[in-house]
Amino acid sequence: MKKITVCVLLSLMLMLLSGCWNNRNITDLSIVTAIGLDKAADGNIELTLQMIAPLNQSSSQLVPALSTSSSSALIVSAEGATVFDAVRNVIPKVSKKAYFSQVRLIVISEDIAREGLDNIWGFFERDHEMEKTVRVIVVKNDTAKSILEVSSSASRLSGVEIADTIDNEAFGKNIKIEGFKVSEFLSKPLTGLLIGVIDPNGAEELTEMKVEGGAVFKNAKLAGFLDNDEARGYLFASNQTRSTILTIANPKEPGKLVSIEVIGSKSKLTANLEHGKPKLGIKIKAFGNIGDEQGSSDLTNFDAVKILESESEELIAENIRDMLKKSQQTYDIDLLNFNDMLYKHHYYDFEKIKENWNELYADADISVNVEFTINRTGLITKPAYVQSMLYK
Amino acid sequence: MLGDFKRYYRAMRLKAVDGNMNEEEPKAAVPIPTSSAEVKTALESAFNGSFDFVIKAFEGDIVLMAFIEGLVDKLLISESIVAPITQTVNEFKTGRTKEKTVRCLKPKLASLCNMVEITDFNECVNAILSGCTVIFVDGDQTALNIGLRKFEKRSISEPLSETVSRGSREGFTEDIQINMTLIRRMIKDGKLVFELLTVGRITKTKVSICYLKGLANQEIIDETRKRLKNIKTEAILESGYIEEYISDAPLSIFPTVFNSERPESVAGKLLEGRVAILCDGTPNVLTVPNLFVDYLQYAEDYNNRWAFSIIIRAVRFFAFALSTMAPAYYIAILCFHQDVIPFKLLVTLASSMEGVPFSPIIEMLVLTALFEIIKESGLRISRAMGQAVSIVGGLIIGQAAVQAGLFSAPAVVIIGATSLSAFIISKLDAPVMIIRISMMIAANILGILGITLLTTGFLAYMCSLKSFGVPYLSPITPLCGKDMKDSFIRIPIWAVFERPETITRRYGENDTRSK
Repeated sequence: MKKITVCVLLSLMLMLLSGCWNNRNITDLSIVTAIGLDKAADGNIELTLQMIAPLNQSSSQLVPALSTSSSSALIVSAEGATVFDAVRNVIPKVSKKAYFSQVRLIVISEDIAREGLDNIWGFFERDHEMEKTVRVIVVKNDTAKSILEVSSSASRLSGVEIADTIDNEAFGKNIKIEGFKVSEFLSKPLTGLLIGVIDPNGAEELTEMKVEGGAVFKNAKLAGFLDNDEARGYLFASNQTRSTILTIANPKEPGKLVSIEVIGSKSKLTANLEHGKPKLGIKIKAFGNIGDEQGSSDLTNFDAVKILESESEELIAENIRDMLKKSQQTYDIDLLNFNDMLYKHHYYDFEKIKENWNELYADADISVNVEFTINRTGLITKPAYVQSMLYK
Repeated sequence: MLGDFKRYYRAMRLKAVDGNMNEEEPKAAVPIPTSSAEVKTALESAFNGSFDFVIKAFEGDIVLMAFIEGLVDKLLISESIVAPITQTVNEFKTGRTKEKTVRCLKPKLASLCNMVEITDFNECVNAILSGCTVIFVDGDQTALNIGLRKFEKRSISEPLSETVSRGSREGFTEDIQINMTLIRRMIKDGKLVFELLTVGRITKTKVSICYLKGLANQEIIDETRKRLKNIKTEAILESGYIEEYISDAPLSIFPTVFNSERPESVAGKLLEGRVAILCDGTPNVLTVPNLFVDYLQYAEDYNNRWAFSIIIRAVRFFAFALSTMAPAYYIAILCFHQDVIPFKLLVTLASSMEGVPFSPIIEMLVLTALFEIIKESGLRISRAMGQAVSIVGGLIIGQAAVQAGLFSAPAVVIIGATSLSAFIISKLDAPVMIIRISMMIAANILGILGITLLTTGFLAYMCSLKSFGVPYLSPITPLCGKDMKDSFIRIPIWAVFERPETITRRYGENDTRSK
């Protein structure tokens, strides 16, 4: 009897003493969708939060905030010496608690990026509310705040819109990177980090801003940028290409073009050491369809397909080589993580050359081998338009 | 405090069902008075001059006929009793028959098969009360009891509480005799046994134990009989009374006795080796032992194809989970675990909750209460006004409350889904309700952790329950692989070769059932 009483009392205490621990009503939270980081004039960090300002539904119009214009977003900025300091400085400005679990996007301005990610990344790793799959992007030639404040003609919050744009892999020329991957790359000093780039280019509308190319980080600091094609080369080499369009010359009609839709690609990286020198290789197997053709010639014969394939291979290899050139000569940083492969497979040899890996990498011989297959030609074989009565 | 309660509880239980305490001694037989005048006085005092009690005297009290109006078949009485008696009385008078006894009457009434001689006066009274006609002869201490019952009763109709789209449309009625016939018509076998008992000192309700001899576990039969005999009460008006007296765990929130209005499902249970308890005056027939899975099974499952039955049983189980857990998870997720909500859903939720003055727990409790009020008023109100309830309920709770911003639309959706799910397993209404509300409170205190803790507690509690010695959660725990064939799933009927082991198994010596 006594035992039961004690048990009941203990469990009651467990219930009551724990109180309403962390019981926060959803209406008391301000859901943050995007975080922007800028450099303030006095050297502080300026943090911008884009939060959802939910519509009151009692007006009998059940319009989800997601589909309302971004004017329904709440933009709050605060400065602080560190990110967390800035986050706390937001409190005096909004009544509700800023809630970070649903952050979709972190926008980092160029200034902050050049100064180094180590200054800002600690908060995102440490805070328990932060989602580790948050998308990260660098804004070129503008402030992160202006990106978050911009109105979107897609009538959604700009943070969500940009995050979804990053996720769309059909373009094949923009770098998609999540928070946990940023942490992973930061833990590898010999490997460069690539983060996607948004370039407002003076535009006021979100639809005018392009998410393309990549920002190269060396030792956690922004070193420079990759253009579209180099970014595509990087994606091919690092096995991240899902789809992209390769535009090449029409083999049968000079001056006309053919677009090949890549629908799958596999890459295999090899790294070996020969006489203390790295011998690196990239092997790519990709396939795709003929997606578009200018002109009226029939491309379904064996020879034409062969030419198309080799031209596609050449284009991919060229993109990769351009990327490697920048990586080896301009930035001296191993973007494809070859050093890690050597570390895993040639540990003792690699330990010896680890110190001057960057120089060795810059001079390394990297072979690029691309194999491209055209599988289909779309819905048709020959174009409907025929130039003369004689079929070509 | 708990100790006092326990002592009080034990004393009450002993008073109500213990066989050893207050053992009622059978009343000593009272001989029937010799003279018919005395008989008349005795009968009149026994019935306290009730209006419906009738004594018909033939030729100056030579023969008396006593019955209760309304319980007997008057037409038959006048045809097959009054006429022969008048003739015999004449013979008595003329002296053609030397001895004036009941025995002389018997051959004249030979056309009536339901005829017994009795010598105990109390027995006569009981016979009259149960609708028999009793004949006394002046100077004879033996009476003749003739069963010519006839009273108005509801005809067999489709049970309203358990409708099926395929299967028998017959339902039990209030008359135990008809109910026994209905079962007998389904199981035409000599093994089917009905035992008749009388329970209730005043109501003297006829209760029948029904089982298939040789199939049902003898221990369960004996136990049922014992428990029924041990009931010490004045009145049994419905089988629900019996259910509470014979339950293994009288305070349990889970019912451990099954009830059904359909002969088809009772016959099915009998064939599985269970014991049925029929009670006069109610169409609800009880069956024991009763397991938790029984509430997920309906007679129709066996009439439909097996694959469909599997799906529909899964749906029922899901409905049980939904009706107990959905509001709790809603509260837990909205108050503690906002991070598990997909982004777009969170935005929708946040916008629909904006401006709602109550926290989710208050919303849920108030909506649950409102829904229960609507349900209860729909049950209590006369049919003609039923429409009003649905309109007022639907409009007030469904739309107006949301539009006025009192409740959020998702909360109304959750309560709607929860309540609909509860209808599917309507026989578990009470436990589902209790679990649902306690889950909500736990969720508001500890979030999903609270739900998990409470679920563990309830599962442990269910594991501890037994129905007539059979563990309540079998065949899941204790696991019985064979019985899984017809539990949460149903394999094709031709593949179920054996009777469920959990029901028919002989339990060992160390079984604590009889305690």
